[in-house]
Amino acid sequence: MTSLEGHYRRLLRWYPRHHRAVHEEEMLAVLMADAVPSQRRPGMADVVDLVRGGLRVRWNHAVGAPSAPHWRQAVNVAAILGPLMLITIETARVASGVVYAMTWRWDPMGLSALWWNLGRSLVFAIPYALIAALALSGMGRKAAAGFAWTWAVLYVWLVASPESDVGPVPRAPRVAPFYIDAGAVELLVFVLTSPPTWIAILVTLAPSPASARLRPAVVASWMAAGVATLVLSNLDWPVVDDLAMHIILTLAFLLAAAGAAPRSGTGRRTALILFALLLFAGNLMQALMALIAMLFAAVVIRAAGRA
Amino acid sequence: MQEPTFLILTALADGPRHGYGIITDVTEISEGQVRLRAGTLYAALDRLHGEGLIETDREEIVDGRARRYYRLTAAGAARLTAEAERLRRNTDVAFTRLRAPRSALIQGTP
Repeated sequence: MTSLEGHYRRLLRWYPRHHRAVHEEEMLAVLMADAVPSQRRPGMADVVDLVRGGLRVRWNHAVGAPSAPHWRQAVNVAAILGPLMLITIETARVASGVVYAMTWRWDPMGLSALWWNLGRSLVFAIPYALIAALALSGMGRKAAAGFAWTWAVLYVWLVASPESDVGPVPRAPRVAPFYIDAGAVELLVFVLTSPPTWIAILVTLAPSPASARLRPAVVASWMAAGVATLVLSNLDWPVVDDLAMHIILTLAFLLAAAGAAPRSGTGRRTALILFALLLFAGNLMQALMALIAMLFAAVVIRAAGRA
Repeated sequence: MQEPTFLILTALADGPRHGYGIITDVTEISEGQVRLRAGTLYAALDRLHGEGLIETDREEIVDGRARRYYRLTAAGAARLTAEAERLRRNTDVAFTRLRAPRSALIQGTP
């Protein structure tokens, strides 16, 4: 039979781990001091109060004053990882084309499309590489922000302007949710949902992106996992159902990411920012699957932590 | 500022107290009207600490358990002063008006 203290200890699991590490014994002392000597179980009012208190502390740490440094650091990290994520997506696009051309159809038409895609992806990936490099080199923060905004404007022109067909890069397929022929509202929506705009906002807001201490090996494996996942999910699979394949692969990709990042408060916030970016960069379905996979990954990691 | 928060800061105004000390003192200040529970108290302490209004004073080990004492910071004292003054202005107005002749009040009603 569980003692009163055991019951209280179980209820204290509603509090975040770091809060428990500091305050658990102290709270138990208060709870035990407040208990009636013959008491065996916590009263209903105490149960409600402890659960509510735990949720309040979690909420406070998620958005309140204590979370501010985590958010600042998460924006720093996302200002670097965001551009790298978009490079990952472009790389996967090219790799998918190569794999597709080599395995299924090897014809001149496919080859010219491949070159076209390669050129397009290079044009789209190089600015992100420059932004990340400038942001990482401590002195280049303002330069990075300036360049990011320049690219954001150029991107909108490249993708959305009616002249883009004669521009340096032909109108990109599936980059924009829709093309801009209509009005100012559509243009505004497009600008606000285009990934370069969000990269520019992130780089501008980041207090010191150079302080984002990222381990190159982890970042490289994360990007490699991303490319592999996206390439595999782009292939036609004869046996496995499309949706199931998508979910499995997204899960594999995110488990790799989840293993590295969301262990810490900063990591979780970075994941949230990048997820929002993925929502703009990919399509809604991908983002939705990513969300499900993230939740699943969180459950798996928690279960593994308990075992 | 909500009443429990005000009472917690008041309990710490004359010196550091530990968690259970705050609970008993708040009961005393409020003449038994407010009985804080552990969940409410520690959620409030967590928030006040985050806002820089209180800080840890010292730790003692009692019966094998860490007992942490909390104290007001300068910012906490300033916030409590501002809140106490606001409450005093309100209660002053209430008392002044209550001392006014009742007849005027009744006659004033159409």
